[in-house]
Order: sequence, then C-alpha cells, then structure tokens
Amino acid sequence: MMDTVICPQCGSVNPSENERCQWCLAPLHPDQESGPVPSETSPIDLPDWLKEADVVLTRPESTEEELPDWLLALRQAGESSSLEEPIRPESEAEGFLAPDLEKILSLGVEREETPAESSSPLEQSESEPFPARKGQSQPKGETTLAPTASSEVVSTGQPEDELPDWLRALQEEEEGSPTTETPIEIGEETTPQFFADVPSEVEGGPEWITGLPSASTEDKGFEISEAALEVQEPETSATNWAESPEGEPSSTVIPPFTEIPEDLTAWYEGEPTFTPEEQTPPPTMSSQPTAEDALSMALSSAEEEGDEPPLGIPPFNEEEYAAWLDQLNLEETLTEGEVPPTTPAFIEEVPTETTLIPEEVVPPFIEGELPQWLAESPTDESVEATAAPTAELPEWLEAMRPVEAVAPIPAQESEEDTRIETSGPLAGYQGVLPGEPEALRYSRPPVHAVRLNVSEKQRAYVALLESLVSAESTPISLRVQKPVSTTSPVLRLAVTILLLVILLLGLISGAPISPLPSLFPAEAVTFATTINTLASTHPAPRVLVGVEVDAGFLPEIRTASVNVLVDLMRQNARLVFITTQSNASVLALTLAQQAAQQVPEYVLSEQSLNLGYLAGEATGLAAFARQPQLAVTTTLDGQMASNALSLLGITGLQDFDAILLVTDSGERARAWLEQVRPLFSERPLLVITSAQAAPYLTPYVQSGQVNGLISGLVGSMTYTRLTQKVGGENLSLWSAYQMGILTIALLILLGGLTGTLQAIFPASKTTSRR
Amino acid sequence: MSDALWTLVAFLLTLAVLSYAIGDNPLFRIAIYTFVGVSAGYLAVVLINHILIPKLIAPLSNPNASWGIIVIPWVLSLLLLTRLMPRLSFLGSLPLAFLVGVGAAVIINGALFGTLFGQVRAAGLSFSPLQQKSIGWMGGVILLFGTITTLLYFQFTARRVPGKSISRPPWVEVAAKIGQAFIAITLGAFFAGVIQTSLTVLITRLDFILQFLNTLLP
Amino acid sequence: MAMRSPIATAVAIGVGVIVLLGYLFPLPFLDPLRILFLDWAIILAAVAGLVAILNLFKVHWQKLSAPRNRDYYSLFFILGFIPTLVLGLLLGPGDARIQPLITAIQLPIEASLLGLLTITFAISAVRLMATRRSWISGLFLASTIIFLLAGSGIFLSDTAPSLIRETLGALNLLPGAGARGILLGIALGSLLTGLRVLLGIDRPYSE
Repeated sequence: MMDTVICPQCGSVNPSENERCQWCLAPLHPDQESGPVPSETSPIDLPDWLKEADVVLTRPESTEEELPDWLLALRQAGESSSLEEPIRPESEAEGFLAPDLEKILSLGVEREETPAESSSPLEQSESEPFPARKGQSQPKGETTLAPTASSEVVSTGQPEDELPDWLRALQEEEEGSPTTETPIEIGEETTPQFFADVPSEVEGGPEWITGLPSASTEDKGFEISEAALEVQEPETSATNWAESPEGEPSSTVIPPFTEIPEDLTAWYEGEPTFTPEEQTPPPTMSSQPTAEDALSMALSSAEEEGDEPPLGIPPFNEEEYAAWLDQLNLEETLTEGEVPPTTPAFIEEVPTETTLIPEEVVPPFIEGELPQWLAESPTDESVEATAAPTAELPEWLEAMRPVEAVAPIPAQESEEDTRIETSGPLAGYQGVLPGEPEALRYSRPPVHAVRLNVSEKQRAYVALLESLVSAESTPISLRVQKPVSTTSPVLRLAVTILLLVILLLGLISGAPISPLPSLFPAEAVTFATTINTLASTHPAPRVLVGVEVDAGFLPEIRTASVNVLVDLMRQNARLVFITTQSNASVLALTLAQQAAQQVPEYVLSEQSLNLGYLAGEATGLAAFARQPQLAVTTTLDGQMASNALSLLGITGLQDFDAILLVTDSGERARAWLEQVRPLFSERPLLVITSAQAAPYLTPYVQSGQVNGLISGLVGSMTYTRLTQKVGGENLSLWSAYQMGILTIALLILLGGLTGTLQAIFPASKTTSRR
Repeated sequence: MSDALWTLVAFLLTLAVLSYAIGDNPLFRIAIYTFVGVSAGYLAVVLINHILIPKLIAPLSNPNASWGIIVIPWVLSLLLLTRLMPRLSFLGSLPLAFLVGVGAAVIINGALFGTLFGQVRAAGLSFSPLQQKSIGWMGGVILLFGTITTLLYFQFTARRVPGKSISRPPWVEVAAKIGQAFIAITLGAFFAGVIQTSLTVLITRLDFILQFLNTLLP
Repeated sequence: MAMRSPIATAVAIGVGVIVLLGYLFPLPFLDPLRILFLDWAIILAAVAGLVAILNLFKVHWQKLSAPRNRDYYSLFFILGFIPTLVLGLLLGPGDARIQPLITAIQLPIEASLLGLLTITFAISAVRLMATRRSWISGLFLASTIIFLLAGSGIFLSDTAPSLIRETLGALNLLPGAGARGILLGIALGSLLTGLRVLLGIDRPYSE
C-alpha cells in the first residue's frame, strides 16, 4: 500500500508524492505553501457550535483533566490494550464497517500515534479546525484523518488477531461468502472508481445483506411472513437503518469523489473479504443502509436485549466491550434468514443525480439525544416505502432523505444549490447539502420590548379613547317608552261635551264668576298710560304698528287691538302698519277699519299707511329698522312706500314716536325686540300679545325692553277697565272664559289626583282589574 | 249679500273643522286642504306683488338703476329656482349660502344686542334701587337664581372619566335639578297661556256660531 | 374632511362677515354694503318662498294626477290655490274683494283648529299623571293650574283674599326667572349657530 495523502480541501486520497490534489488542485502540504490553509476560513462562516469546538480543540494545553470521562475511559482502554504498533487498517474499506465504532475506537489510539505517521500534513496542525469540525475530538490518526471517511482507519483499533470474536466471525463469514457484488449502476460517471469497478455480473446480495434483514426482523420481534419478506427484502436490506428502533440515520461521512487509489483497487481485487457492505452506501445516501448501520442496529438491538441503555455511547474498555459483545449472537443474526440474491430494484433505478449529491451528515445529536421527529420519521417512511410499488421508488427514495423529510424548505433549495462550500472537505464545491442542520441556522429572533413607556396621563387618554370607541360600537339601550295610549273616545267626548256646555252657558248667561278686574298688572298700566299719553310727545304721534298675528289668533286680541287703535286714532296718530306674515297685512287692515269706524274723524287712507308684507322675517326687520324706505318698496295698495312715508314725515325708524307690536308669537316678538328695539331704544315699545306669548315676553318687560304689555282676554279686559271704555267689556265672552278656565283647571286637578292615587296605590288598581 | 255669503262660508268651515272633535272626516279634510291652498295662493300673490315686482322687475325699467346691482339678485334668484329641478338643484346652494350667511350675521347681532346684553343687564338691575320697587330684593335674588339654575340645566357637557359614567359635577347636578324645577314651572305657565289662548279662540268661535244662528232666526 | 361647495361656503362666510362687521362697525363703506346685502336677502327670501309654494303645488298636482292612489283632496288645494292666485294677481293683495279670503276662510279655519286644541290640551293635561308619573309632571301640572287661575282674572278684584293675591304675585316671578334662562339659552344657541355658519362649520346650504 502506497502512502497516501488526503487532501485537506476535498478529502480525496492522493499519492503522497503529489504536491497538489489531483481532484481539487488544493495544496496537499499547506505548510509548504504560502497560501492560506483552506481550513482557516473565516471564522465568520463557522457556526457557533463549531466555533466553540474550534476553541476547544485549538487549546494545545488541553490535558486529560479537561477531557470528558468517557473520553478518558476510552483513552485508558486504548492504553491498556497494549498496542505497540500503530493501528493500521487492513483496508480502507474496513473503515466502512462501523464508522461509529471506528471513531470510538480510534479515540483510544489517537494518542499512541507514531511520530513517523505524524508527518501527515493534517496532523501537523493540531489547531486546524477542519478535523475538529468533524468530530470535535478528532484523533490525530496516522492517515488520519478521517475527517471524511477515513477509509483506512481500522475501526476496532485493535490488531486483527485481537479482533473480537464477533468481528472475526464476521470477517470469516465474509471471506467465506461469495463476493456477490451488487451491480450498482448508480453514479457511473461520478461514482468513485472502486464503485465502478465492482463487478456487475454478480447476482444476488451479499451475505451481510442476507443476514441483516433476518437479524433485524428477528431482533425486533417482527413477525413477517416469508412472502412478505420476499417482497420487502430488497427494501428491507436498504432501509433496515430506518427500521432500527432508533431510526438513526447513518452518520457515515464519505467523501463524494474520493478516488480509490490503484493500490486500493488492487487491494480490493485481492481482498476477497471486501464485501459490498463496506462500500455499498453511496456517498450521498447517508440514509442508505450501510454495514455500520446494520452493525449498529444489531448492536442496538443486542443492547436492548441486555437491558442496556439503547442509546448513548458506553464507556469503552475492552472487558466491557467483550462482555457485551459476547452477548450478541451476531453470527446467528447474520446468517439467519435468506435473502434472495437479487439486486434491489431501487438500487438499479436510483437516479444518478440523487446518488451524486454528496451529503455530509454531521450528527448533531448522539443517539440518545435524537429528537422525536428524527427518531420516528424514518420508520414511518419505511412503512410507507414498503407499500409503495417499485416503480415509485424514486419518490420514496426522495422522501426517505431525512433532511428533506424533516426540513421542508424547498424555497431554500435553490439557495443551497448555488452556494459554494467554503470549508471542509467539500470546500469549493457547489450544491453541497448543508453540513449543519437547518435548525442550527435558526437564530433566535430579537426580542423587542413590548412595553410602551407611557405616562399615567397618556394611559388615561388611551382609556378615554378606548371608551369612546367602544361607546360608538356599543348599542345604547334606549328607554322603551310606554306606548302612548290613545285617549279614550268616551273621555274625549265627555270632556268635549262638558267644556262646550259650560262655555255655551257662560256665553249665554253673560254672568262672570268674579267681579271685573280692579287690580291691574304694572305692565298693563304702563301700556295704557303710554298709549294715552302719546299725544303729549307729538300732536300727531307716528306709531309703527307691527301686526305679527296669524288669522286664527286674531279673535283673542282683536278687542284689545281695536281698543288701542281707537285710542291712537283719537290722538290723531299716524299709523304705519307692517308685518312679516303674509296674511297679517289684511288683518291689520281689518283692525284699522274696525277702529276707524269708532273714530269717524280719522281718515284711514290719509292718516295711516299699510306697508304690507316684509319678507325675510328677522332679516327683513333688520333691513327695515336700518332703512325703512329701502326695505319696503310698495304699500299694500301699490303706492311707493318711500313717497308715502315721506308724506307722513317719516324717513327712518327714529321718526316714530312709539312702536306697537301686536303679536301672538313670542318668537316673532323676540325678532322685533332683537332687530328693531336696539335701534329704537329711546322710545316706547308696547306689545299686545296673546296669552300664550305673555310668559315668553315677561323677561323683556322686566328688562325694560318692552315698556308696556297687555295679553289675552285678561289684558283686553284690563285695558278696557283702565281706559274706562264704557260698554267695552264683552261680559258674555268674559264669563265663558272664566268658567272655561275653572273647568279646565278642575279637570286637570282631578286628572292629576287620579294619576297620583294610581301611583300611590297601584295594588288596588291591579286588584280591581282582577 | 256677499257678506252673508262669506259669513255662511265661514260658518260651514267652522263646523267642518270642529267636527274633528267627533273624529276625522272628509269635511275636516276638505276645509284643511282648502285653507292650505288659499294661504299658499295668497302668499304667492303677496310675494309677487310686494317683493318680486318692485325689487326685481321694476328696476329693469328704471334707467337710473345700476345694472350691476340688478343683475346679481337676478342671477341669485334664477339659481335659486333651480331647486325645482333635481339635476340642477346643486346650483341653488349659492343663493342659499348667501341667504344663510346674511341670516347668520343678523341672528348673531340680534342675539347679542337684543337678548344677551339686555337680559344680563336686567339680571343685575334687579338689585338696583330703581328696580327695588317692582320686584324687591328677594325677587331679584329669585330671578337671578332661577336664571342661573335654568342655564345650568342646559349645560349638557361633562367630563368623561375613564371607567365611570358621564356625569356632571355634583353641585351642577343639584343646580340643574333646581333649574329643572324652574323650567317645569315656566312651561306650566306657558301651557296655561296656551290653554287660555285656545280657550278664548274657541269661545269666539262658539260666539260666532251663536251669532250666525241668531241671524238665521227670525 | 372634504370641503363641499367651497364657493357657497366662501359666499356664506364672506357675506356674513361683511354684514356682521357692518353691525359692529358702522363704517361708511360697510353700512351701504350691509343694507344692500340685506335687500338682496329679502329678495332671495321671497324667491325661496315662491319656490316652496311652487313645489307644494307640484306635489299636490302629482298627487291628483297619479295613476294610482289619487289624493282627491288635493283638488281642494288646487281649487283654493289657483283662484286666490289669479284674483290676487289681478286685484292686488289689498283689494277689498280679496280680504274675505282671509277673514272668511283662513280665520275661521285657523281659529277653529286652535279651538279644537283646547279640548286636546285639556285631555292631555288630565291624563298626564296617568301616563307619565314624575315630580316634574306634578310640578308642571301644579304650575299650570296656578297660572290658569291667575290668568282667569278671578283674583284680580279687590274681593279676592290678599294672601292669595300676594302669593300669586310672588309665584309670578318664578316663570319669569325660568323664561329668562330659556331666553338666554336660546340667544346663546343662536349665537353659536350663527358663528358656526360664519366659520364654515355648519353648512346647511350644501346638499
């Protein structure tokens, strides 16, 4: 066997005399190169866990005290094995037997390397992170190296003659078994040469394959019929790793393009013990069944039988190793069960590209730490795979890939495909599957503070805003009003008849209940006094008469209005009528005509003027108060207002000696008081109003804005009494009025008392209803 | 003769309307529809005769009138007529805006100088020696107290406290209750005045019926 | 908030401000402008009233000419409207032949309607405590009764007990206080309404 050097860049095996890797052209002796060591890539690219491992491994002063217990135990076991010569594998392929075991065992001998073998370039750099990345406690092997598949490392770490019985028996069986090579057609172009050289004419599976299924099935207690076994055998042999209790994917790391040197090929050709189990796993298929899978499966199943912890790596020493190995009836497990020597169809149909994807599986967990999903998913998939037809093998084969099965991140595939590996044995290659689990890439999202820094005042505002918003959406329960009960027709008819009868009696009788008024309100006295003394201010007092009366209210104030107009006419007053009610101009004319009938000397057409209707109500009044000639253009009879006013000697509001307002509405009276009164503050403003507007105008009387006021029928009677108009009292009307008022007051009192009694004694009401 | 005829019409219309005391009937409706038609017709006549003709049409024949002053009210009036046409009714917003703007200014002026200043001044004058004769010192106090509490009753703004119901301060609540009592008394007085007015008018109608019936009697 | 009818709003604000300034500051150039605007407002108010009347007539005409559910009472509206309009335009509103339209038609109907309200008011007052029992209702009814009696004229004679007369005179102050509060409230409301219009907050003229 010629000396070989493994490329630190790509992991390929090269002849030791080569300066550069014949595959990747990387310098095989970095010390001699001035260029950077490929493994010394930027630490930025390293994941955290690798950085930590790097730090650990770069400590040259690492002592035994710092080593973990299990590693110390292994070391002690290695020391006690009295190996005096370096362990050299008989073949590189043996390294495939049990890479896990190989790693474990190699730990014990790493310290016993010979100096001669330390000339390997890789071992010179103890701090080189590259091997550390693979195993974190990577031994300094001779060929070492095994960072990648370390094909030449003897897994047992013992001389062949000191091999345990089970391994020796295994070898013996392999030697004795026919070299039935599985005609692997996969990856012919890129498959390593030694795969390509496998004789394809060999039919039937190797014996290890024939033994594994039965062993696995038996160990697991699976009761599979032979017929079923025949169907499942090809798959079983390939997926027995998945059927293992742990479902542990193979942790074998194989350089994808490792070329087997010629001597190795020769070795292969000369070594009948080289069985497919040592080279079966395609480089990409870490999930493919491999010999170490079978072995580990067998070991694990044996551990289960021996009530050993199924997972975890036991502290290793030779005695224990032998002891638990003795419990294994490995020979039986390997020889039992006959597997038809047919090549599994899926192996023949495996697409080339799937096999060529180098997969570097770095087991992030030891067996005992496997997550549930990782431990269960292969088993499930294997069950599905058994039911799948052969023609669909590529699909389930794709599905069997653990990384894809558990990490459905198709969106990142393109990213991974275009990524170039920057470190490790696959450095420089594109499309390499990530060596680190996807979960390790996950970075914890930054935690942002969710608590706002708000003051109490701001909280109060927020609460207020929330309450406002919630109040908008919260339906307000309206107070359900009691349905207004319609008035009973009997009650309505009774009240109507009663009232009409009493009023008619009053009208017919003409006998008031009480004597005629002899006490008069102050505003009525002022009113009468002002009206009857206007002549003292001017021989022909000019009085502006605003008639703001609806026709229906005129009868109430007709008597008072006519009497007042008569008094004014007797003083030879110049009366100017104006209204903001359309029909009130006619009413004003009617009132004037009635009054003029009582004053024959008064010429209505000459001494009075009816300006008619003033549109715009308050606006019209404002305009009229400011400039009467402009506000009113024509009189009621069609004359020019300005000319008519000029004839009366009136050019503006201040030319009037008094304003007499006849109204039935408090609002209209207020419009006059607001728009006209401020411009007429020096002269008297008198109001004849209906009884309904009197309370409304009382404040204006108290404030002096209204100088005198008479209201309603009482005001009419009062004015008549004040002015001593003999016969001016309409006694029939007055008596009916008093009787009607008393009747209504009595009815209201009775109704109120009845309602109050019903409220006080509701029970009696309900009782009576019952 | 015509007076008697119009008196008969008035008598019939009075009976038709008063028949509503028994219940709704066609006579009542006929009287009401007729009343509305006559009122609208007379209002139109008044508007045309008193406003439109002298203020809009007559200036067109006045050679001394300024055309700029004439055109604007014409344009505004025509725009206002578009209110009758739904598609062009949006054009009527301009003269309405003019009307509302002027009306707002008139109302502000009237409320400020006609009522607010006068009534506030009157509230203070109640305590002046000149007014003591009319209502007295106690009367002034009652007037002032009633006025303030009535105004407080109309204060419906309150501070909203989070988590609590909206409520006015306690002293405002008490004052508002007193103001509510004042308002109830005032509205009672108003209602009494309305009843007096309507009763008087009813009596006059009954008197008219009696007089008409008297004329029928030989 | 989208500005609706910006021109109309500008007109309302501008005209209102000019008129108000004319009131507050009767400057030589403001006063004629204010009077002119007031005159135009009177014209527009008349046109607005005419528009309302025409619209009312159109409604009744449509109700009368509707193919279904004709309102035949609208015929009486037409019969009342057209003759009045024609006669009024021909004779003038102040003609003696027009006056009976007011005195013989409007006045009896309006007065009779108002007389009917007496019965309605009385029945409503009688049933008030039965339908809405509260201290406010009781106070309202008590006030009504008192001021009915005060307005009846029964206690306006010397024969009436002086105690009652003085009591009624004192009670007469109470509605005056309430009415002043109401007047002040109305004035304040009018003031605010006008200011809102002038500030463009309220735009009742925009559709």
